[in-house]
Amino acid sequence: VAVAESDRFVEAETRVAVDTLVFEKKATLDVDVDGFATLPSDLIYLEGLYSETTPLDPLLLEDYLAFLSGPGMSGYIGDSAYTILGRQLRVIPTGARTLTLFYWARPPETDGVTFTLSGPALSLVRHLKLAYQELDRGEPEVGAMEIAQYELDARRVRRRSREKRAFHDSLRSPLAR
Amino acid sequence: MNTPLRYLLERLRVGSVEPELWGDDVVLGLFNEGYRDACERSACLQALTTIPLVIDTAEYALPSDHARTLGVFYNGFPLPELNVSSAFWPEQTGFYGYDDLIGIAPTPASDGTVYLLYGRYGTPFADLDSTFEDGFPLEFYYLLVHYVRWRRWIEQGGAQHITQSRWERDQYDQGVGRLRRYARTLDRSAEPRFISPLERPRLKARLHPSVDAR
Repeated sequence: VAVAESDRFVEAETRVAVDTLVFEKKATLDVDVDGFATLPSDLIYLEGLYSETTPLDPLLLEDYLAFLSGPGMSGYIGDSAYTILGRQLRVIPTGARTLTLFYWARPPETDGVTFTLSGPALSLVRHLKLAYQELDRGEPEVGAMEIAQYELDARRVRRRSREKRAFHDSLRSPLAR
Repeated sequence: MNTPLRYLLERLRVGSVEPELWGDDVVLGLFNEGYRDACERSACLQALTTIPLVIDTAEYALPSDHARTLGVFYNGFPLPELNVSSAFWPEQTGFYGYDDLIGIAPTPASDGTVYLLYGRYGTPFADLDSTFEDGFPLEFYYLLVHYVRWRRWIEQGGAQHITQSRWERDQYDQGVGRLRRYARTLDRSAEPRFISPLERPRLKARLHPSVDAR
């Protein structure tokens, strides 16, 4: 039995993408008249949603459902807001429109030669792939050690990416945020 | 690329000195167990349904794919969860569950609709060419490798297997925890809007005017 190298790289790269959140994308999304739209299949986390240049407010799902279920706490219905149910985006007030979304994405399947991630994240991909290989090859101690090290490194890369983002945000004027 | 389950099976078999542990049928059965367990514990597959209330009927059937209740909403409010044993006390408002039923307290005195948000089970894998449901993210397929190894090694016994199975179980549990957080925070920036935690006591008072009066 052999495991294809490319399969191992696909598994490793997708896990690194979710553990580090370093791969971002922008897309447009058509919302139907009921305010529903299906999120892109490669979406890991939604970062921001805009109607032209106006950001939509995120709502907790439970608040949205409370609103949907009746008039009890319907005091707030200000600007447009959205929530996510499963893989579905729900926007209120309802009505067809086109939105722009920014999100952290799952990389497309690699062939094991060309990768979407780069820099420290790509090093993590190679590291994780080797760790899985050790685990599967009947070297559980080595594999376990490598996985533990991978998790530490992934946290570090994620933190660095967040710090970079926070720094860029701090440079923007409050009006532009 | 291989189908996901065949790839996971290859991972189990490659380099194994005990290939008899990883027979197709045994592994498929454990894949299904692990998938069901991960769906239930993480509630990564969410579904919303409505339950029409009937006058003088307190209990209603849950959907057949129901794994766990995430929230029940009625008339603009989330209903609190009650213990079955205390659901019939006077002045109780909320929902309770047992077997495949959900109960509403107090028993509805008028028609209405309850919104039920729940975590559901994924459709079981019929064979090794079956696929995961869309809501179960690709990044977490690897959990099933840890689940199967944990279960198979614990069944085999022996000091080495037991130690290793413990590590596999930890990996599986931690992964399910990550999957649960992933499912809850798909949108990472949401803040309570309609009903902040500070407002909840006031809400409760509105739901229980008699309690409030005391």
